[in-house]
Amino acid sequence: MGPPTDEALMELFCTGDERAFDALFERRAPDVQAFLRRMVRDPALADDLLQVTFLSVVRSRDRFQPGAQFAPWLFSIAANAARDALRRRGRTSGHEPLLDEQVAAEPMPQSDPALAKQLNLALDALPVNQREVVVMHHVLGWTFEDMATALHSTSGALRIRAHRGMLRLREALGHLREDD
Amino acid sequence: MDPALPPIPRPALDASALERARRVARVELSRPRQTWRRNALLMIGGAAAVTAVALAITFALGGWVPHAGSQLAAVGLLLGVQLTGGYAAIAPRARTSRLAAVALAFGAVAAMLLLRGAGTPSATPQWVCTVSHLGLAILPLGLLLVLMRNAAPNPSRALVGGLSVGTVGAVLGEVACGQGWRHVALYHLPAWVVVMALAWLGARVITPRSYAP
Repeated sequence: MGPPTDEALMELFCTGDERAFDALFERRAPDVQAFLRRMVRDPALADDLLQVTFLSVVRSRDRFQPGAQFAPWLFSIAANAARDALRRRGRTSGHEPLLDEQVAAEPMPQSDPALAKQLNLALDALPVNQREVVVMHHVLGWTFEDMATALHSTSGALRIRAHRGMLRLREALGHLREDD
Repeated sequence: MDPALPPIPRPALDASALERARRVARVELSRPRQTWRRNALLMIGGAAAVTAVALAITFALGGWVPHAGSQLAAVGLLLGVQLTGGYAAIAPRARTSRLAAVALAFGAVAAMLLLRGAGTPSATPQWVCTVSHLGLAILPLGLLLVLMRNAAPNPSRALVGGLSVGTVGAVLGEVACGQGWRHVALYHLPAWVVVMALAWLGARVITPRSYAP
């Protein structure tokens, strides 16, 4: 018999089994952390939002619909928290670039630090609704169908958002490519 | 990934931040929890209690103004809005209740305007109705905003909650005001709209305790 599904664990958690919560946290928190760090690009804020996300799971576990998928519900909480935090900071249409030392601390995808830095900045400059789709699809590997549940949209609309986001990224990085 | 772009790097795992988040969640587990059902009951009960107290005071002071047949229909519809709107503002996945609250509100407005007739003139300044309407909304509006903190901010939830809260003053307006439909359109309904706007604005400002949908 395989490990219990997220949904089975959530059902156990809702009936009071705290070990089930630990198992869910173990399984899903790293992805939530990656999502939030990519979304807000401020490690301290991302850590606060990670706490808020799992506090929300604990506080609102009775709002989880039996039979629904857990991961989209969890990521809808994380996305709501990120959007609200960015809205409060007035950063919904992109925000100030990070300091050079913060950018330098980011893992570099290639041997080309300039390209990596530009990619990070271009990602930051995306509108929040495009950034979340690009991050979920291209960083975490979510399908558009699963994302549609998490982001309360349709897979078609999310494909368009992702496409527009990738176009913007390509435009932002275009001049670097041409310089090569 | 787009072949024209380098892969977007996944941020490095921060084990200490994960541990902190787990600890905070574990502490929360030991606290008493508020279920959405309890909160929905509180919301509906709170609005109903303020309505009941306002009506009791009105009747006790002889303020009931019997007028056309609109009264019973409008009050019934308004109480329906109060109930479904209060539920829809708090409950998860309450799309049907939200639509029902809006439909009932349209019905209530139609009854308030179309069945009331020309009414009887009153010596009381007309703005008293608006001020009373707004004053009666203060307590239930505060309760709504406190309870809405337990879910992710949602404008349609806030508006439907405002619809529900605004019925407290509207019910009193139906019972204690005998003026005509023009007065209702100019001094009752705008107050209801202001209450909805305040609920919407308040929901944008409050810091949620939970971001669950």
